[in-house]
Amino acid sequence: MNSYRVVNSLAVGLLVMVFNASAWAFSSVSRDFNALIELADIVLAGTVSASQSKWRDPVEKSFIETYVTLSELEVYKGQVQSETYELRLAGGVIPPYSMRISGSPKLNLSQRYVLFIKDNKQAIFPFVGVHDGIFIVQPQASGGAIMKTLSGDVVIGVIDNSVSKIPANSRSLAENAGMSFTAFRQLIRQRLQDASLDTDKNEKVVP
Amino acid sequence: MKKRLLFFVPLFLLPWGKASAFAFFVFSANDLVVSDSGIPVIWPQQQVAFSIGVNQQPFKQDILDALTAWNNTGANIELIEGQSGSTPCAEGDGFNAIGLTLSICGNSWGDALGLTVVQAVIAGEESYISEVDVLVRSFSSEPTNSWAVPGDPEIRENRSCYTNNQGGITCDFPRVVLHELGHAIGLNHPDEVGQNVSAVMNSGSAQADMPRRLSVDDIAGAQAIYTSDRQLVDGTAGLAAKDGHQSSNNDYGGGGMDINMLSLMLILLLLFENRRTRLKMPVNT
Repeated sequence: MNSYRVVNSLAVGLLVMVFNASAWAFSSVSRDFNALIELADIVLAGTVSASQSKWRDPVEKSFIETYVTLSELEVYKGQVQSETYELRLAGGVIPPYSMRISGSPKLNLSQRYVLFIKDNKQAIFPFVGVHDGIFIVQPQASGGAIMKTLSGDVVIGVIDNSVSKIPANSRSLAENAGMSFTAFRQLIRQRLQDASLDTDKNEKVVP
Repeated sequence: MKKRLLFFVPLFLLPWGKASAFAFFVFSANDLVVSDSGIPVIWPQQQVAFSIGVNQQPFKQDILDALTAWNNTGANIELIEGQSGSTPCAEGDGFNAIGLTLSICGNSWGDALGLTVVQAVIAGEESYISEVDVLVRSFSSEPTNSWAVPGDPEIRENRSCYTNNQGGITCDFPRVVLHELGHAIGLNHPDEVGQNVSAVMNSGSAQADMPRRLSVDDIAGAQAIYTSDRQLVDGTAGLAAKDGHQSSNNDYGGGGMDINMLSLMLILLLLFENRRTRLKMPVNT
């Protein structure tokens, strides 16, 4: 075997192949917990049951969108008429084409999320604060589930409207320190109820 | 044999010895993806011109200042203002453009503020950026939302966005432009590959508390990917002592150590081949 020849052959082979590729990257507004509650049109927990990328214009083929179907819905705010809910996110892959948006939120199949949704099927990413409005419901081996941010940090609570989190690999992360899905859901409902009461108060003030 | 080793030894040694962390675009599986190790996809030329489709002040000056900030990093790249005329949504027209837009080519902005589209050409071992379009959100149709004006007290407190007295948001235009232009030269989000660093190039809320200037990590990233020669870069080299950093392995493929190991294996393979050849020589002669 002549490894030099093998390496050379590989290099020459690679030189023959030519590709065009594009990538998108973006920056976004950061939102606190109250803003997530207040600005969302819909707040729900749902499990990703399907995901399909499509060309926005099948003839022009310049922009790919991904349709994500959520099932096993638990709706906390807003109206969802059917048993599933469809989200539209910019970007996706239609082999051999791809339109990847760096830093864009990705929802994985079979994963359960709590989502704060706004302007679905209008906005490039229909989540309040983009990443801020997405939480992972992470099942635990011991039963139950804890909440994680989209980047994988463990949510340990909400203090002063700020979501407190610690890196999943942090040494300071004590077992069972993560906020439970039950507690998180309860907090959302409580904040929604508080917001509703506030609205009632304001309405009474107006003559 | 020496020539073969000289080819691989730099691959093996170069990733160590840097002091900061960053991420960049690499080419993998026919795609441009974010990574903190590998050969960065960068501009092939030293000078890159942008059509700036923004004439209002202070926005135009903020864009020029952001170009200058990246030019002052010491990296071997220069961003300049070029001919006007191209629009940021005209992807694939060969012109680099920066513009304020009310929508993202048909979508509403939602909570996004800026977006950069990077196009690259990959030809065998060579991959380089061929066109960049930077879109920054225009708030002109949204009276409650706005970009901050110079001297805004909230911005002085290093907040990228805050709730204004009309209940909308006010955001930091210079920081968004600085961030997007980082993408325009090939840098990417360090937090997206598990790095925990202070950088304007972090994504979303991870950069919310950053001042509107490039950090040590941002500058190191620009310098590392724009050295005089195209080479393998490891954006995690300075992270060993930093808290919260995981292995550089990520969803986008192998990390720096994998590539180092590959180089090491190739060296060992060539050494073995060389030794075997030498052992055979007396027999042949």
